[in-house]
Amino acid sequence: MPTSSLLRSAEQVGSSEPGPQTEALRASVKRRPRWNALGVVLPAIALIGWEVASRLGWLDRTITSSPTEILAEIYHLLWTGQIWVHLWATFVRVFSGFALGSAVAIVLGVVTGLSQIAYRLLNPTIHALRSVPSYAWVPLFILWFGIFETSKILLIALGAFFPLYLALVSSIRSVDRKLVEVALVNGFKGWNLARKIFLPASLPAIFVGLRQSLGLAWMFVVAAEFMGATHGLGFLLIDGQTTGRPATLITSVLLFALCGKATDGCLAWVSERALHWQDAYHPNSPEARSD
Amino acid sequence: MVTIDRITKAYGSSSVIADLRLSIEPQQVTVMVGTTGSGKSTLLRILAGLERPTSGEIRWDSDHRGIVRPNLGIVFQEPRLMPWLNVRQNVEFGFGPAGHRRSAELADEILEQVGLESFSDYYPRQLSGGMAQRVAIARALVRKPSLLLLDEPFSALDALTRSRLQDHLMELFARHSLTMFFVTHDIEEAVALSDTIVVIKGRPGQIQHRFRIDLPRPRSRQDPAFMVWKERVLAALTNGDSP
Repeated sequence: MPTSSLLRSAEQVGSSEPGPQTEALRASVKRRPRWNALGVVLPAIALIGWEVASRLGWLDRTITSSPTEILAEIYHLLWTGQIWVHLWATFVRVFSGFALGSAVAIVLGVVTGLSQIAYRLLNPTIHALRSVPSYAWVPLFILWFGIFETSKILLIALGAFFPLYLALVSSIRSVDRKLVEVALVNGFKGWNLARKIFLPASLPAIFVGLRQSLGLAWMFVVAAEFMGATHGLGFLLIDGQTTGRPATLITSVLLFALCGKATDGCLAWVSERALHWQDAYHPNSPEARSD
Repeated sequence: MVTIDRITKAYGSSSVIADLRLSIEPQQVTVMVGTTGSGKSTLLRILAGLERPTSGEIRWDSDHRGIVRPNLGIVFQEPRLMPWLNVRQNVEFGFGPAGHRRSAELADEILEQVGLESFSDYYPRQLSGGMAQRVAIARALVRKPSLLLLDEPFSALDALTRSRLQDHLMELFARHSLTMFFVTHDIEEAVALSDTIVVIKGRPGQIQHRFRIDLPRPRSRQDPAFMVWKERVLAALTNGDSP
């Protein structure tokens, strides 16, 4: 009997089979719901309650407005086209800052994670800088870079830098020694070792770091747009406050939430596909539901 | 041939192996048997280049091209597959950073030999322990190693899978004319696979006995001669130890 046939016949015995859990896992991935309706229940109840309270005069109309007034404000912004101007200005700032902060975080994170000298040299300083509150940078950035786009983008980049840097350094330094040994025995060294082992092994942490960085970029854009912006959702926020228009103010907050959620959703979607190989527990898998 | 010449390994003041001398004959299976902590895995790690000896040296005979640098394959106790690579890519990983222009084709070839040709697109999380270990063996063999190092590769598997994988390994040994250095604490496994058994004992570990196993292959574990060898190796391993 040829070797392969012998091995194949052996395959049919005992624990050599992939087992039903493999198929169950695949099925669970297909069956996973795309939209969790439960998440909508609480905001829907809150919105209805808010509208009713507003119409019945239970809320002070000088400091708040009703959901329908907010919808009217959104409609007005859409009708006049202003919404796109503000969204575009904020998106450009968020993504420029996020891209810059992430790029620097990846370079410094990889270097600090892989080199003991770089770790000892850079890590204490970076940790010290992380402790500075974000608003403390605002006057300094205005002084150094002016009140125009440079200071805004750099402030957002600073916010986006830290989560990714910390996630990257910590994950690179905790990569499984056993996998590194396999690579070393197979001749991987230096850049090849980093590319083939350290980076893919750190990918789950990189995506967590990227999502946190993006979240902070959205937070820092508010601080950035307080620095003398004439467009952007942060400007809309200030404008609503200074002109006493709560509908504008709440619209801006709502747009921040929607944009933040949408961009995080995109990153989560990319992350799920890039990390399909992970042996992760899914709460809605058949195994989890069977009990 | 590989010559291990007076290798000593110490961590601080604690010696793990001392003054070890051993020759690994080409196209033969040399099995090192020892109790836990006798330093057998340390020796294998030194051979793999993962640790440096405190003293002594390892001499590699140059091959027919005059290249001294050994082409090593290694299989660990755990499969150690890259979870982000599928089965074929894990096997191709064995070619190293330079790769091979026919890497996919050769990987498929070796996967067929270990009976996993229809699982080449699977990821490690989808494999059983026995299948994952066979992928690890395929990864070690794909580069056609001049020396295959195995560190208790079947110890985490159930008895049936272990026995079958031992048979598969010997088929691959014959097919590829391999030179193998196999570390185990399982005496039956040692007698089933070896041309030479080396017994390492003590702390620091030292070679106490060498046996030339002249049983014909394939070996039946019910064969009285097989049983006799098992008893002899067991006696050598336990001789002098308190009960």
